[in-house]
Amino acid sequence: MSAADVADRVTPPERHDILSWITTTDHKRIGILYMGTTMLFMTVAGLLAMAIRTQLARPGQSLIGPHAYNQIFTLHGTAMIFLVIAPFGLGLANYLIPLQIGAPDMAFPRLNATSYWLFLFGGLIVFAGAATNEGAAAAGWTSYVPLSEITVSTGLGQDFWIVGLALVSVASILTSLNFVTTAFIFRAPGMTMWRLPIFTWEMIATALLIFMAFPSLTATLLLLFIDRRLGGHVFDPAFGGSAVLYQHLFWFFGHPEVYVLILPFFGIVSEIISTFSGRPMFGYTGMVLAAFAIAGLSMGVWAHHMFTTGAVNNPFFSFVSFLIAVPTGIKFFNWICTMWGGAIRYPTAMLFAVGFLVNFLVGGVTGVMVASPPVDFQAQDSYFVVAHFHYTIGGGSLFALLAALYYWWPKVYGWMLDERLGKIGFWFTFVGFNVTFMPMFFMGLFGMPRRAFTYPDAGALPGLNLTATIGSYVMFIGALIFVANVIVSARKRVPAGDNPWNANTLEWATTSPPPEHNFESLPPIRSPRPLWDLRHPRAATSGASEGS
Amino acid sequence: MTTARGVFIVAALFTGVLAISYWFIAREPAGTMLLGFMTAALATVAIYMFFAEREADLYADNPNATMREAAGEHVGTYVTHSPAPFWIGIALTGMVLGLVTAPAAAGLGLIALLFLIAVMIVRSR
Repeated sequence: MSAADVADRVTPPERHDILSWITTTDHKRIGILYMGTTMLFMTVAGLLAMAIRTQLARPGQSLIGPHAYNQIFTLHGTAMIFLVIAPFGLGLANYLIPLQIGAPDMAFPRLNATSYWLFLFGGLIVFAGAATNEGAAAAGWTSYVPLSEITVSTGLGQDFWIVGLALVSVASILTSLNFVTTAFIFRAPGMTMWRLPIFTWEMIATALLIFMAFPSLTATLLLLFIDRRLGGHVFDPAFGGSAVLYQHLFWFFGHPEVYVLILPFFGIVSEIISTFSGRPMFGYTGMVLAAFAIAGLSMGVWAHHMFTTGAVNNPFFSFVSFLIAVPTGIKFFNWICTMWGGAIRYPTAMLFAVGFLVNFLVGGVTGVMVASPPVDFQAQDSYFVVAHFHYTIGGGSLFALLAALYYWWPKVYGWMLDERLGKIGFWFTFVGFNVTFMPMFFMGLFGMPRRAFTYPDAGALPGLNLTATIGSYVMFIGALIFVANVIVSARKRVPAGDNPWNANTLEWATTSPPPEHNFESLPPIRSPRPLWDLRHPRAATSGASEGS
Repeated sequence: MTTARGVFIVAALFTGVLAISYWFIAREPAGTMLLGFMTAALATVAIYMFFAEREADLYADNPNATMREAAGEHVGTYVTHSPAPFWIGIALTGMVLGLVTAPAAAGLGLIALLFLIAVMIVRSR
């Protein structure tokens, strides 16, 4: 028997047929499935956004009727929040966490695969609502009562929305348990908690948030379903129920969800900035503690979405909301200090990371503004809030998502994306994004309500809306350039090598793409930057046991 | 106290203080209950880890551990493929869609789900 025969028996060759993907429990494949699925959902949600902007390009247009418009913005919001941004973070973490901590897989591989399938089927059910008689859910991504009650939303689409998101919610909770267990138990020898990469730390904080907040979403959906289908009156004031209770339950999940949408992307940006500045993360401990401070405080701010109800303690929620700016400021300070004096390189991933900093700053500062009840009373339900939210999640998370794609693509597929096309795409996306969403702040200040399918032909609104629509088309071109980049690069297949960016975390110590069992061998782990230690053994020895 | 255990203990203490403060400031029952449940969930994990981790001795928590020391450790059997997760997903999807459209389908989905879980438990022994 030859050596090759023995090797084949020990490590069977990887299968690549469809069945092998359906039955896979390999964390890398599940990560790819997650991210690929989110890209498909994002394509649909992006096209829906283009439909919204086209309808609003001129006042009084009727390209889309009001009911269809309600369905479109509901599906757009639901998809982007529940099916794109959050699960992309989970998908990337699926791929990266075992690699970053030196583990062969997740702690519970079959649970991991189950989570993915529940997420996929849940998302498909939400979209399938559009095929029912009265169309998809049309009560907005928050599905406030009484809009989402059976008396107003009579169609099956709203029920599909409820049960679909219930599956997605359960999937997220299972995934978060898997992440925490894996990061706590499956670390390689020497990979102490204080040597974990920042991305893994951010995912632990995210998983903790999901663990705390998503059960509230599941319960809310269940109660809404009971109201709609089983004759309950939990949220019906006419029968002793409470519509405000729905808002409490929803936002108890909903605001932490905003941080579920952003914390993974803080981790992505931290990794990228550190790599391309050629420096370790400034204030590693501060970054970790800030992530947990944000996660903790985010559990105490849910009712700042309810200032105008008059049913909550505004000073309490305003104060805690202001407090969140402190740990977020620490993160900004650390990112800037990491870049300060560094030998900065600007490949596409770094451009998107810097774009994230700029956009998220605008989103963050306007977030502090609406945390003040007097300002919020003016901005509530106006386009100002739409602009703020999109600067946070679109300009923030979405830019970091694209940064992540350019940064880890070579590791996942083994070949590079084209840098020239990437940079052109970045500028289209960055300019397009700001031209789309900056005018929305002014639309809001001029009184344009969100979720309105048209607006009066008066004042500055027509000009601002047309500008925003033009911006959205520029951004759309940026998205097309990314697709073109993938196609062109796939044909060229420029080999990436194991560590094309000279990065320092453990995932770059293995081949690109990694083998099924992740590592043939692991370097000694004596700091959060084991690959830097490997390249600079003398310096590493002099600063031994960093992060022990 | 290990860092992993500390994360849950500190989180449970923080949310506990938040729940109590919220009640005294706002006197609002819904939010207080939610914060209370959250504290209980975190405390449950923290208490479990407090006892379970007494016995834990991870190479990962030793800052000077080497790969050689951990070599040969039995980490259990790993499956790289399993059809069960996909079919569990299908069964649960059938169940929730049945709740909306046809209760009989929901029943079938539930039976299929329980069957799959039982098969998975038996096969993993």
